[in-house]
Amino acid sequence: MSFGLTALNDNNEVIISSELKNLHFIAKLTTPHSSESGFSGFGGSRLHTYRVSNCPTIPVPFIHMAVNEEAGVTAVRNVDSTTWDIEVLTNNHTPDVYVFADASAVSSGDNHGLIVYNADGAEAFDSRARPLAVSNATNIALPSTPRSPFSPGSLDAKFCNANGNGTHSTDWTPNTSSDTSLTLPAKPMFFYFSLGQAELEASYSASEEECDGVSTKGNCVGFVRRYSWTSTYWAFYRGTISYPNTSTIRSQWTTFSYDCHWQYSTNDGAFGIGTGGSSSAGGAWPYSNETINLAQQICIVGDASRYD
Amino acid sequence: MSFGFQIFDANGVLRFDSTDITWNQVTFYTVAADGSDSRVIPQISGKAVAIGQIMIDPPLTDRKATAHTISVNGTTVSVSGGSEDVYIIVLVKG
Repeated sequence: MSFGLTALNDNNEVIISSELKNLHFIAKLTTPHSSESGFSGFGGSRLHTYRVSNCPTIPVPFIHMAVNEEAGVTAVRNVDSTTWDIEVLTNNHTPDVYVFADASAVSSGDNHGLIVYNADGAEAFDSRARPLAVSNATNIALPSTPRSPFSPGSLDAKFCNANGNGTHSTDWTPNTSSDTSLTLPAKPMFFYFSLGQAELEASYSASEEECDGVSTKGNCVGFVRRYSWTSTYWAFYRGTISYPNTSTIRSQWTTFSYDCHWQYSTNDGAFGIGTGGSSSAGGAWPYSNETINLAQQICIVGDASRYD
Repeated sequence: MSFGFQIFDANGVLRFDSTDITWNQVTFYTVAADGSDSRVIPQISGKAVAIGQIMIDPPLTDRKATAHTISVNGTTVSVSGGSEDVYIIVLVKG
Protein backbone atom coordinates (compact mmCIF):
# COMPACT_ATOMS: atom_id res chain seq x y z
CA MET A 1 0.00 0.00 0.00
CA SER A 2 1.15 3.54 -0.75
CA PHE A 3 -1.04 5.21 1.86
CA GLY A 4 -3.48 4.35 4.62
CA LEU A 5 -3.33 1.65 7.21
CA THR A 6 -3.52 -2.10 7.37
CA ALA A 7 -3.74 -4.01 10.63
CA LEU A 8 -3.40 -7.76 10.84
CA ASN A 9 -4.61 -10.11 13.52
CA ASP A 10 -2.73 -12.99 15.10
CA ASN A 11 -3.62 -15.17 12.11
CA ASN A 12 -2.08 -12.62 9.74
CA GLU A 13 -5.53 -11.72 8.43
CA VAL A 14 -6.43 -8.13 7.56
CA ILE A 15 -8.85 -6.83 10.17
CA ILE A 16 -8.51 -3.10 9.56
CA SER A 17 -7.73 -1.71 6.14
CA SER A 18 -8.09 1.62 4.46
CA GLU A 19 -9.04 -0.32 1.31
CA LEU A 20 -11.98 -2.10 2.96
CA LYS A 21 -14.85 -1.16 5.24
CA ASN A 22 -15.19 -2.59 8.70
CA LEU A 23 -18.68 -3.25 9.93
CA HIS A 24 -19.65 -1.40 13.10
CA PHE A 25 -22.36 -1.94 15.69
CA ILE A 26 -25.26 0.46 15.04
CA ALA A 27 -28.17 -0.77 17.14
CA LYS A 28 -29.65 -3.64 19.10
CA LEU A 29 -33.33 -4.06 18.24
CA THR A 30 -35.35 -6.02 20.79
CA THR A 31 -38.83 -4.89 19.78
CA PRO A 32 -40.19 -5.26 16.25
CA HIS A 33 -41.61 -2.23 14.50
CA SER A 34 -44.51 -4.46 13.45
CA SER A 35 -45.41 -8.14 13.55
CA GLU A 36 -47.84 -10.39 11.75
CA SER A 37 -50.32 -12.17 13.99
CA GLY A 38 -48.52 -15.50 13.76
CA PHE A 39 -49.74 -18.97 14.62
CA SER A 40 -48.64 -21.90 16.75
CA GLY A 41 -49.71 -24.73 14.43
CA PHE A 42 -47.56 -25.97 11.54
CA GLY A 43 -44.54 -25.80 13.85
CA GLY A 44 -45.20 -22.14 14.67
CA SER A 45 -44.72 -19.00 12.63
CA ARG A 46 -44.47 -15.28 13.11
CA LEU A 47 -43.05 -12.64 10.81
CA HIS A 48 -41.51 -9.56 12.41
CA THR A 49 -40.33 -6.32 10.85
CA TYR A 50 -37.56 -4.46 12.68
CA ARG A 51 -36.80 -0.87 11.75
CA VAL A 52 -33.38 0.75 12.02
CA SER A 53 -33.02 4.52 11.69
CA ASN A 54 -30.07 6.88 11.15
CA CYS A 55 -28.38 4.33 8.93
CA PRO A 56 -27.33 5.88 5.59
CA THR A 57 -25.97 2.60 4.25
CA ILE A 58 -27.26 -0.95 4.04
CA PRO A 59 -27.65 -2.62 7.44
CA VAL A 60 -26.06 -6.00 8.02
CA PRO A 61 -28.33 -7.77 10.53
CA PHE A 62 -27.29 -10.47 12.98
CA ILE A 63 -30.02 -12.40 14.81
CA HIS A 64 -29.82 -13.75 18.34
CA MET A 65 -32.45 -16.26 19.43
CA ALA A 66 -32.66 -18.78 22.25
CA VAL A 67 -31.62 -22.41 21.85
CA ASN A 68 -33.83 -24.31 19.37
CA GLU A 69 -35.68 -21.21 18.23
CA GLU A 70 -35.79 -20.75 14.45
CA ALA A 71 -35.12 -17.50 12.57
CA GLY A 72 -33.99 -16.14 9.22
CA VAL A 73 -33.86 -12.71 7.57
CA THR A 74 -36.27 -12.85 4.64
CA ALA A 75 -36.09 -9.28 3.32
CA VAL A 76 -34.41 -5.90 3.78
CA ARG A 77 -36.20 -2.82 2.51
CA ASN A 78 -35.06 0.78 2.21
CA VAL A 79 -37.79 2.98 3.76
CA ASP A 80 -36.03 6.29 3.16
CA SER A 81 -32.45 7.50 2.81
CA THR A 82 -31.52 6.55 6.39
CA THR A 83 -34.25 4.11 7.46
CA TRP A 84 -34.40 0.39 6.74
CA ASP A 85 -36.83 -2.41 7.52
CA ILE A 86 -35.47 -5.86 8.29
CA GLU A 87 -37.97 -8.70 7.96
CA VAL A 88 -37.35 -11.77 10.14
CA LEU A 89 -39.30 -15.03 9.99
CA THR A 90 -39.46 -17.04 13.22
CA ASN A 91 -41.30 -20.08 14.53
CA ASN A 92 -43.34 -17.71 16.73
CA HIS A 93 -40.87 -15.97 19.03
CA THR A 94 -39.20 -12.54 19.14
CA PRO A 95 -35.44 -12.59 18.55
CA ASP A 96 -33.02 -9.72 19.08
CA VAL A 97 -31.52 -8.13 15.98
CA TYR A 98 -28.04 -6.64 16.17
CA VAL A 99 -27.48 -4.22 13.31
CA PHE A 100 -24.06 -3.50 11.84
CA ALA A 101 -23.11 -1.19 9.00
CA ASP A 102 -20.05 0.45 7.54
CA ALA A 103 -18.53 3.45 9.29
CA SER A 104 -20.69 5.98 7.45
CA ALA A 105 -23.48 5.04 9.86
CA VAL A 106 -21.41 5.65 12.98
CA SER A 107 -22.56 8.47 15.23
CA SER A 108 -20.56 9.12 18.38
CA GLY A 109 -19.47 12.00 20.54
CA ASP A 110 -16.61 9.96 21.95
CA ASN A 111 -13.19 11.48 21.17
CA HIS A 112 -11.13 8.42 22.06
CA GLY A 113 -10.04 5.68 19.72
CA LEU A 114 -8.91 5.22 16.16
CA ILE A 115 -10.47 6.28 12.86
CA VAL A 116 -9.10 5.02 9.55
CA TYR A 117 -10.04 6.77 6.33
CA ASN A 118 -9.87 5.33 2.86
CA ALA A 119 -8.65 7.05 -0.29
CA ASP A 120 -11.86 8.98 -0.93
CA GLY A 121 -11.96 10.36 2.60
CA ALA A 122 -14.76 8.09 3.81
CA GLU A 123 -14.33 6.33 7.12
CA ALA A 124 -13.28 2.71 6.82
CA PHE A 125 -12.88 2.00 10.53
CA ASP A 126 -14.06 3.83 13.62
CA SER A 127 -13.39 2.30 17.02
CA ARG A 128 -15.93 4.61 18.67
CA ALA A 129 -18.64 2.30 17.38
CA ARG A 130 -17.85 -1.24 18.34
CA PRO A 131 -16.37 -2.92 15.25
CA LEU A 132 -17.73 -6.30 14.29
CA ALA A 133 -15.70 -9.23 15.51
CA VAL A 134 -16.83 -12.66 14.41
CA SER A 135 -16.42 -16.07 15.97
CA ASN A 136 -16.89 -18.34 13.03
CA ALA A 137 -18.48 -18.80 9.62
CA THR A 138 -19.80 -21.67 7.59
CA ASN A 139 -21.94 -22.45 4.58
CA ILE A 140 -25.44 -23.65 5.35
CA ALA A 141 -27.45 -26.00 3.16
CA LEU A 142 -31.16 -26.57 3.61
CA PRO A 143 -32.83 -29.99 3.57
CA SER A 144 -34.25 -30.80 0.13
CA THR A 145 -37.82 -30.72 1.37
CA PRO A 146 -39.62 -29.43 4.48
CA ARG A 147 -41.24 -32.77 5.21
CA SER A 148 -40.18 -36.34 4.59
CA PRO A 149 -42.22 -38.37 3.96
CA PHE A 150 -45.04 -36.06 2.95
CA SER A 151 -48.14 -38.26 3.09
CA PRO A 152 -50.98 -36.20 4.49
CA GLY A 153 -54.16 -37.78 5.83
CA SER A 154 -57.61 -37.22 4.48
CA LEU A 155 -59.04 -33.70 4.48
CA ASP A 156 -62.47 -32.36 3.55
CA ALA A 157 -62.76 -31.83 -0.20
CA LYS A 158 -65.58 -29.32 0.14
CA PHE A 159 -64.84 -25.58 0.29
CA CYS A 160 -61.59 -25.96 2.25
CA ASN A 161 -63.59 -26.78 5.34
CA ALA A 162 -60.53 -28.31 7.03
CA ASN A 163 -58.22 -25.34 6.38
CA GLY A 164 -55.84 -25.05 9.32
CA ASN A 165 -57.35 -27.89 11.31
CA GLY A 166 -55.34 -30.45 13.26
CA THR A 167 -54.63 -32.78 10.34
CA HIS A 168 -53.65 -29.93 8.05
CA SER A 169 -51.37 -28.48 10.72
CA THR A 170 -49.79 -31.75 11.85
CA ASP A 171 -49.26 -33.27 8.44
CA TRP A 172 -47.68 -30.11 7.02
CA THR A 173 -45.42 -29.35 10.01
CA PRO A 174 -41.77 -29.39 8.83
CA ASN A 175 -39.81 -32.39 10.11
CA THR A 176 -36.47 -32.24 8.30
CA SER A 177 -33.25 -30.53 9.33
CA SER A 178 -29.56 -30.48 8.55
CA ASP A 179 -26.84 -29.99 11.17
CA THR A 180 -23.45 -28.33 10.77
CA SER A 181 -20.83 -28.61 13.48
CA LEU A 182 -19.40 -25.26 14.49
CA THR A 183 -18.18 -23.84 17.78
CA LEU A 184 -20.53 -21.09 18.93
CA PRO A 185 -20.16 -18.53 21.72
CA ALA A 186 -22.49 -18.80 24.71
CA LYS A 187 -24.69 -16.07 23.22
CA PRO A 188 -24.38 -16.44 19.46
CA MET A 189 -25.72 -14.08 16.82
CA PHE A 190 -26.11 -15.13 13.20
CA PHE A 191 -25.85 -13.35 9.86
CA TYR A 192 -28.07 -15.48 7.66
CA PHE A 193 -30.31 -14.50 4.78
CA SER A 194 -33.16 -16.84 4.02
CA LEU A 195 -33.49 -17.51 0.32
CA GLY A 196 -34.87 -21.06 0.29
CA GLN A 197 -38.57 -21.38 -0.43
CA ALA A 198 -40.77 -24.46 -0.47
CA GLU A 199 -44.40 -25.31 -0.86
CA LEU A 200 -46.25 -28.55 -0.18
CA GLU A 201 -49.80 -29.14 -1.30
CA ALA A 202 -52.37 -31.91 -1.57
CA SER A 203 -55.69 -31.95 -3.41
CA TYR A 204 -58.85 -33.76 -2.38
CA SER A 205 -61.89 -34.29 -4.59
CA ALA A 206 -65.46 -35.46 -4.02
CA SER A 207 -68.61 -35.71 -6.11
CA GLU A 208 -72.29 -36.35 -5.51
CA GLU A 209 -75.36 -36.86 -7.66
CA GLU A 210 -79.00 -36.06 -6.99
CA CYS A 211 -81.59 -37.85 -9.13
CA ASP A 212 -85.16 -36.52 -9.28
CA GLY A 213 -86.30 -39.26 -11.62
CA VAL A 214 -85.83 -43.02 -11.48
CA SER A 215 -82.46 -44.56 -10.83
CA THR A 216 -82.01 -47.67 -12.91
CA LYS A 217 -78.80 -49.72 -12.52
CA GLY A 218 -77.00 -46.61 -11.28
CA ASN A 219 -78.20 -44.41 -14.11
CA CYS A 220 -80.62 -41.58 -13.50
CA VAL A 221 -83.62 -41.42 -15.83
CA GLY A 222 -85.15 -37.96 -15.51
CA PHE A 223 -83.69 -34.84 -13.99
CA VAL A 224 -80.19 -35.10 -12.40
CA ARG A 225 -77.80 -32.73 -10.66
CA ARG A 226 -74.14 -33.59 -10.29
CA TYR A 227 -71.88 -31.77 -7.83
CA SER A 228 -68.09 -31.90 -7.64
CA TRP A 229 -65.63 -30.31 -5.24
CA THR A 230 -61.85 -30.04 -5.13
CA SER A 231 -59.87 -28.48 -2.29
CA THR A 232 -56.10 -27.98 -2.44
CA TYR A 233 -54.53 -27.55 0.98
CA TRP A 234 -51.03 -26.10 1.15
CA ALA A 235 -48.32 -24.59 3.30
CA PHE A 236 -45.44 -22.35 2.25
CA TYR A 237 -42.04 -22.41 3.95
CA ARG A 238 -38.85 -20.39 4.15
CA GLY A 239 -35.41 -21.60 5.17
CA THR A 240 -34.25 -20.69 8.69
CA ILE A 241 -31.51 -21.61 11.15
CA SER A 242 -31.44 -22.54 14.82
CA TYR A 243 -28.88 -23.98 17.24
CA PRO A 244 -29.64 -26.98 19.50
CA ASN A 245 -26.41 -26.42 21.45
CA THR A 246 -23.24 -24.33 21.23
CA SER A 247 -21.51 -26.71 18.86
CA THR A 248 -24.18 -27.07 16.18
CA ILE A 249 -26.02 -24.87 13.69
CA ARG A 250 -29.19 -26.42 12.35
CA SER A 251 -30.93 -25.46 9.14
CA GLN A 252 -34.58 -26.25 8.66
CA TRP A 253 -37.79 -24.98 7.14
CA THR A 254 -40.19 -22.73 9.01
CA THR A 255 -43.80 -22.34 7.95
CA PHE A 256 -44.39 -18.92 6.44
CA SER A 257 -48.07 -19.29 5.57
CA TYR A 258 -50.78 -21.85 4.97
CA ASP A 259 -54.14 -21.76 3.23
CA CYS A 260 -56.38 -23.62 0.83
CA HIS A 261 -57.95 -23.16 -2.61
CA TRP A 262 -61.30 -24.71 -3.57
CA GLN A 263 -63.30 -25.29 -6.72
CA TYR A 264 -66.96 -26.25 -6.95
CA SER A 265 -69.04 -27.12 -9.99
CA THR A 266 -72.52 -28.42 -10.81
CA ASN A 267 -73.82 -30.07 -13.94
CA ASP A 268 -77.52 -30.51 -14.52
CA GLY A 269 -79.16 -32.90 -16.96
CA ALA A 270 -82.51 -34.29 -18.04
CA PHE A 271 -82.98 -37.64 -19.77
CA GLY A 272 -79.31 -37.82 -20.67
CA ILE A 273 -79.09 -34.29 -22.08
CA GLY A 274 -77.00 -31.64 -20.34
CA THR A 275 -79.04 -28.60 -19.35
CA GLY A 276 -76.33 -26.39 -17.93
CA GLY A 277 -74.11 -25.94 -14.95
CA SER A 278 -72.06 -23.52 -12.98
CA SER A 279 -68.74 -23.34 -11.19
CA SER A 280 -67.06 -21.22 -8.57
CA ALA A 281 -63.74 -21.04 -6.80
CA GLY A 282 -62.25 -19.37 -3.77
CA GLY A 283 -59.44 -19.30 -1.30
CA ALA A 284 -55.78 -18.54 -1.85
CA TRP A 285 -53.61 -20.30 -4.38
CA PRO A 286 -49.92 -21.00 -3.79
CA TYR A 287 -47.34 -20.24 -6.42
CA SER A 288 -46.20 -23.79 -7.16
CA ASN A 289 -45.55 -27.14 -5.64
CA GLU A 290 -41.77 -27.14 -5.49
CA THR A 291 -38.65 -26.25 -3.51
CA ILE A 292 -36.31 -23.55 -4.86
CA ASN A 293 -33.18 -21.58 -3.95
CA LEU A 294 -31.31 -24.43 -2.30
CA ALA A 295 -27.83 -23.07 -3.01
CA GLN A 296 -25.68 -22.90 0.13
CA GLN A 297 -25.82 -19.65 2.07
CA ILE A 298 -23.06 -18.15 4.18
CA CYS A 299 -23.71 -17.99 7.91
CA ILE A 300 -21.41 -15.75 9.94
CA VAL A 301 -21.46 -16.09 13.73
CA GLY A 302 -20.58 -13.44 16.29
CA ASP A 303 -20.74 -13.10 20.05
CA ALA A 304 -23.87 -11.06 20.85
CA SER A 305 -22.80 -10.42 24.45
CA ARG A 306 -20.00 -8.23 23.12
CA TYR A 307 -22.60 -5.74 21.87
CA ASP A 308 -25.04 -5.78 24.83
CA MET B 1 -0.81 -9.15 25.26
CA SER B 2 2.89 -8.89 24.46
CA PHE B 3 2.47 -7.83 20.82
CA GLY B 4 -0.25 -6.58 18.50
CA PHE B 5 -2.63 -3.77 19.23
CA GLN B 6 -5.61 -2.95 21.41
CA ILE B 7 -8.11 -0.12 20.98
CA PHE B 8 -10.04 1.10 24.03
CA ASP B 9 -12.97 3.46 24.37
CA ALA B 10 -13.09 6.49 26.68
CA ASN B 11 -14.15 4.27 29.58
CA GLY B 12 -11.21 1.95 29.14
CA VAL B 13 -13.32 -0.81 27.63
CA LEU B 14 -11.51 -2.87 25.01
CA ARG B 15 -13.26 -2.38 21.66
CA PHE B 16 -11.06 -4.20 19.20
CA ASP B 17 -7.67 -5.86 19.18
CA SER B 18 -5.38 -7.92 17.06
CA THR B 19 -6.75 -11.21 18.40
CA ASP B 20 -10.10 -10.44 16.78
CA ILE B 21 -11.36 -11.97 13.57
CA THR B 22 -13.68 -10.11 11.26
CA TRP B 23 -15.24 -10.00 7.84
CA ASN B 24 -14.91 -6.62 6.14
CA GLN B 25 -17.37 -5.17 3.67
CA VAL B 26 -15.98 -4.42 0.24
CA THR B 27 -19.12 -3.12 -1.40
CA PHE B 28 -22.85 -3.50 -1.72
CA TYR B 29 -25.04 -2.92 -4.73
CA THR B 30 -28.41 -3.85 -6.18
CA VAL B 31 -29.20 -6.21 -9.01
CA ALA B 32 -32.61 -5.88 -10.62
CA ALA B 33 -35.16 -8.63 -11.09
CA ASP B 34 -34.38 -10.57 -14.27
CA GLY B 35 -31.22 -8.49 -14.60
CA SER B 36 -27.56 -9.37 -14.41
CA ASP B 37 -24.37 -7.78 -13.16
CA SER B 38 -20.72 -8.60 -13.60
CA ARG B 39 -17.98 -6.53 -12.03
CA VAL B 40 -14.32 -6.76 -11.13
CA ILE B 41 -13.65 -6.27 -7.41
CA PRO B 42 -9.87 -6.17 -6.92
CA GLN B 43 -10.11 -6.17 -3.10
CA ILE B 44 -11.29 -9.80 -3.02
CA SER B 45 -8.06 -11.09 -4.52
CA GLY B 46 -6.47 -13.71 -2.29
CA LYS B 47 -9.16 -13.52 0.38
CA ALA B 48 -12.05 -15.66 1.54
CA VAL B 49 -15.17 -14.16 0.00
CA ALA B 50 -18.71 -14.26 1.37
CA ILE B 51 -21.44 -12.82 -0.79
CA GLY B 52 -24.80 -12.20 0.79
CA GLN B 53 -27.90 -11.93 -1.36
CA ILE B 54 -30.94 -10.26 0.19
CA MET B 55 -34.27 -10.08 -1.54
CA ILE B 56 -35.56 -6.52 -1.32
CA ASP B 57 -39.28 -7.08 -1.54
CA PRO B 58 -40.01 -10.75 -2.17
CA PRO B 59 -43.59 -11.85 -2.75
CA LEU B 60 -45.33 -13.60 0.10
CA THR B 61 -46.69 -16.73 -1.53
CA ASP B 62 -48.30 -15.68 -4.77
CA ARG B 63 -45.30 -15.69 -7.06
CA LYS B 64 -42.23 -17.82 -7.51
CA ALA B 65 -39.21 -15.88 -6.21
CA THR B 66 -36.06 -17.30 -7.72
CA ALA B 67 -32.75 -16.25 -6.22
CA HIS B 68 -29.96 -14.99 -8.44
CA THR B 69 -27.03 -17.27 -9.17
CA ILE B 70 -23.75 -15.82 -7.90
CA SER B 71 -20.36 -16.87 -9.17
CA VAL B 72 -16.85 -15.70 -8.36
CA ASN B 73 -14.11 -16.14 -10.94
CA GLY B 74 -10.84 -14.60 -9.78
CA THR B 75 -11.81 -11.03 -8.94
CA THR B 76 -14.97 -11.02 -11.06
CA VAL B 77 -18.30 -11.38 -9.30
CA SER B 78 -21.23 -12.28 -11.54
CA VAL B 79 -24.88 -12.20 -10.54
CA SER B 80 -27.78 -13.27 -12.76
CA GLY B 81 -30.87 -15.35 -13.24
CA GLY B 82 -33.06 -14.21 -10.35
CA SER B 83 -36.63 -13.03 -10.52
CA GLU B 84 -36.40 -10.49 -7.68
CA ASP B 85 -34.57 -7.25 -6.93
CA VAL B 86 -31.74 -8.06 -4.53
CA TYR B 87 -29.01 -6.40 -2.54
CA ILE B 88 -25.60 -7.97 -2.96
CA ILE B 89 -23.17 -7.54 -0.06
CA VAL B 90 -19.57 -8.57 -0.64
CA LEU B 91 -17.55 -9.43 2.47
CA VAL B 92 -13.95 -10.63 2.69
CA LYS B 93 -11.72 -12.21 5.29
CA GLY B 94 -8.04 -12.93 5.16
